Amino acid sequence: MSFGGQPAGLSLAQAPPLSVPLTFFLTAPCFLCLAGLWVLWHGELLFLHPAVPATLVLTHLGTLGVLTMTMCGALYQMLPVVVARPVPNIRLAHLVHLLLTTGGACLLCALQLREPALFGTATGLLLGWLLLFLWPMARALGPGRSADQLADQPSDLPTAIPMPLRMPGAPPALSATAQGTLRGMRLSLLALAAMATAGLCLALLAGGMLRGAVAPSLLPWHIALARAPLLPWHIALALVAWVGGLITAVSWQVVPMFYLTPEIPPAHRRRLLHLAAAALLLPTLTLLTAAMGQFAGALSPTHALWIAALPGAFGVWLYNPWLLHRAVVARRRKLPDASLGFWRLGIACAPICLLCGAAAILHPDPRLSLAAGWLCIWGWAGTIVLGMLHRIVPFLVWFHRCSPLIGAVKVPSARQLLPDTRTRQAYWLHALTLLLGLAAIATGNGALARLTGLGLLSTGVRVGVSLARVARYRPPDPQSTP
Amino acid sequence: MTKIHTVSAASPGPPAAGPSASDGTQVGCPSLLVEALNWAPGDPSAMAARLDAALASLHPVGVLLVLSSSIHAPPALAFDTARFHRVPAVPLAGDRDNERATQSDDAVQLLQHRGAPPPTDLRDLPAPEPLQHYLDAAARLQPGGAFVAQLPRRPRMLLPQLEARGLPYQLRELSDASALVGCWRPL
Repeated sequence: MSFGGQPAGLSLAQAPPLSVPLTFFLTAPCFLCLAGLWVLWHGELLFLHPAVPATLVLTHLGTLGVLTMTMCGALYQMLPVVVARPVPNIRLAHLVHLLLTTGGACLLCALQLREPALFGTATGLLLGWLLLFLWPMARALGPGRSADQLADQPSDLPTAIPMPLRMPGAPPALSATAQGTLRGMRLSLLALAAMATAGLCLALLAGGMLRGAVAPSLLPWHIALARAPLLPWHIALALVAWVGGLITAVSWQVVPMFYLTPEIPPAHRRRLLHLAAAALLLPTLTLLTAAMGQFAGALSPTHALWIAALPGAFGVWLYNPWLLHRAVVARRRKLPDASLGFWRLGIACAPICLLCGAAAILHPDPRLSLAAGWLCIWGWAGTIVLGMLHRIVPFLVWFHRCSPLIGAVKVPSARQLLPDTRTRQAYWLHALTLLLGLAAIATGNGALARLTGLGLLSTGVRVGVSLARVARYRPPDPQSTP
Repeated sequence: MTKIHTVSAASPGPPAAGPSASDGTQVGCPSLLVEALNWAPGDPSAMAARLDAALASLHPVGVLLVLSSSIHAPPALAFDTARFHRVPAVPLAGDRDNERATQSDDAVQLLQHRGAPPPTDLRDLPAPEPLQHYLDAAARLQPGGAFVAQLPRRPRMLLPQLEARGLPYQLRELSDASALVGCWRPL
């Protein structure tokens, strides 16, 4: 047992301005609407094969436009609040958002039009996004002292009464959960760097701007830069290590905080961190082995890469969802909460992702790959991300605009900013869209495909309008209130 | 510099008084959370006297945290004096960052002045309701008044709000990941 109290937490200056996460969070529903319009336009063509250009566009609307967009905003917000690490040069976040949005849009056009110049522009913009996003994140997440640890120093704040400080054997300033989240974030950002680099190489290969091999003189081996092993590596790292890793790490913090569930036990968190590391390392080692021409055996490099991703996939699509389900069932107070429905649906989709993914490896039917991708992007990750948007945006708006006025004027609660009825509407629209999408993939029916597009569009509009209303909210002015 | 409030059988004598101008802190700030370490077996009446002295520096709604090991666990009756009482539903401590610690290894007991309202328990509220309730209560404080609550976790977003309102505070994280936070409205 130890006594440890730190007088100061974050200063308000360390928390990111509201505009930073909101810009990212409000852009995500716009990409969701675009995805709906895209499906409405192309119909069943999107559900023929995952390699169809229009399907690739739909995939990247989901991964770049909705998932990565939201996750970037969430990282800017969560680092200072959850793990007490403020992100340096936070104003750069607006440029990061611009680069991600324009680079993403360019990439979508390039994928559809197969225009080399567009691939080049998209690569340049997305490389800028990646560097400007990762550099401050790396500085914030790197070894160093958190704001809590800095708070152990004598404070100049006139308002903080010093408490007894660290005694010998005192725990670290961050809780074990926050430390687990910190490690998970580090791994997922490494995965983002690797995944995005692979994606940029693929874009350059597609645009014909990158041929042959990486300069052999620089490396002891001749690394062939071929599309075949790079693509599964890109996909595995994107879905399992980046998206899965971050959702897993963040869920340990936000699920207990918002839904009053028990914490995920430390032993499970440690195992999941090992699996997240495996999700990054095993496919990478397999890729390197394949690229050096050292790969031998009955399996193709592509199949070997998928198999190498399985331990990580087990962690993010089976192990962590099971733990979260257990935690949700054991909630301390079972308060009705519409956003929890999103989590439940996402958790339910996760094991089906694993099944579909495994089936797609074993069987060449493109519908299995399509179903795995659909469930992964829109069913599991997309659902959880939409649920979190409904919880986090009202929270942030309330914190920045309402909480400073408590006691001065009557302000609404965070729940009143976004009533449950609107969240429930978004939930049902999204759940229906998921089912329609699966039916469209299974049958190849054009009407079902267009209904799916309509569903995506409706969900995007519902989510976007809800969040925009919350973002527009301004509390009454204390000066004008009697 | 910071001041450590300690009551220890190994270091007899009255506990340190509240912060003073000489240690760089505000004059007149009450002690809302006071820690008393190392309960040891011995003369219960002597220990009670020391706790009594520790309580003398405590704000009327403040909380005294008594740490003891399982070997030297203080008998419950030792706390039942005329001047202070145990706060009900006290979380047993173990080091939440150290899995080896169990509830039987260590224990924290919370004491208060007899008749003082127990810390408001905000642990069973989803975010951001604990913050909202705390700020509501803090806004209603009269000069000299104090408010102590138990929150579900270290309230990173609350602390800057208290600072912005000019409310001194004290914080102590407990073994169940919750945190006791006391704030005071200066006279």
